[in-house]
Amino acid sequence: MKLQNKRGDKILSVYWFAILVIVAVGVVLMVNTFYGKGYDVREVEARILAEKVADCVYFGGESNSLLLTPQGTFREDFKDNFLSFCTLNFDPGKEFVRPEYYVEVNFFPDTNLRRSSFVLSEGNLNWKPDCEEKVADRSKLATCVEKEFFMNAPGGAVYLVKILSIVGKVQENV
Amino acid sequence: MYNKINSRGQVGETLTWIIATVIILVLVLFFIFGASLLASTKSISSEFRPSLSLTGHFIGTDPFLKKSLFTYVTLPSESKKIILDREFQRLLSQEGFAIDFNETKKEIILRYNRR
Amino acid sequence: MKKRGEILAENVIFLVLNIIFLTILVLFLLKQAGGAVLIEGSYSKEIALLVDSAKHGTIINVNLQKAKEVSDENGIDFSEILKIADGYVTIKLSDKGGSSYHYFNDINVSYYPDKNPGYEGFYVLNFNRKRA
Repeated sequence: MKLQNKRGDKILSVYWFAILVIVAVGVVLMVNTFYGKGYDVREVEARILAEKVADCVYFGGESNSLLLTPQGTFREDFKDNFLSFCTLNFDPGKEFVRPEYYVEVNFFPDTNLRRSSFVLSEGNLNWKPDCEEKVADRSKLATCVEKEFFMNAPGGAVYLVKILSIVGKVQENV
Repeated sequence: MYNKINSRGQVGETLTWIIATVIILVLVLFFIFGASLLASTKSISSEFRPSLSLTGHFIGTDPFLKKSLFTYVTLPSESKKIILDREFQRLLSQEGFAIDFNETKKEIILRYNRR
Repeated sequence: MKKRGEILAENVIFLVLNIIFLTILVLFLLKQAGGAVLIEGSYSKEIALLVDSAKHGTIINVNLQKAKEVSDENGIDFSEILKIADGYVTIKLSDKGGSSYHYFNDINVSYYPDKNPGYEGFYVLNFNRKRA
């Protein structure tokens, strides 16, 4: 009498189908994990912003004449026109949307490097606390870049200029 | 007479398949984790790769250091130069700079003296 | 006794189905990799950063050949894929798609596809100061 038990083959094909499904789901998840994440360019962007502000304040060994008088005094009206003097535009152009940038420039005289004698700031101040957060994954926080350099001012003074530039844009980059 | 049905072979196969499924699951999870690690490299850093053809140290990506060095060479007061030099050494020892500090300083002094 | 092996129909069907499955997976992967959404996002950011770094008098040639291939497939004319206006760089490679990225440089940008032979797929960007 022939023993023919083919039930095993049908059970095997169910397992094979299950493995195919696992592999397919795995590949789809891998692809979505990798390609679903956008490029985060905020660090480069914040650095470009800092460099632009630095060039606006001090270029070619000379400070901006709109910022400092020939006697070396800071002009207060530079604060009100900071964006236009440095050809910056933080306006998102949409209603009820706040700027995605914040920039702050502090000028510390060489006689007192702990106390800023002049401050320029523009943008959305709400991004600033993100710089203090100490977390492992900073991707959902704003990107902060801090740069400093020394500047010769008219009248012989030397200033330490500290530039803090912040780029929010969390949704577009994460 | 009855038929003896030996199903031990079927049980052996099923066990093999269960183990294979578990191994495949573990591998797939491992690759998904790897994909998420690769996705984290999509954060573009501001440290550009230097050109392979450039050999000069002066050309680099630290305009802030260059501004500071230019301030240094144009300072009329020697005492302020010493203070600034000390500050550069402090920054060099703490954080370092993106480009070679000594070469850049030499180059800026050279260019300033040539003008 | 001669025993000839037989190519069983079940095995052949099994192999063919597996190959079809793998082909579908590979095609899915390639479609995702070369997808319009990915290219739109990366180009809009890249060009926005270029605009941010540019100064008055700068002329930049941007290679958008990959974007041209995708826009040609989707029936979008090359001269319409890039828009720089109101502080945003927008790249649109399909009817329903489009990715915009804001730039902070307050500068005038004029842009047009490069008409020089051998430069199909390139855009020329000219930067000038905004008039008061």
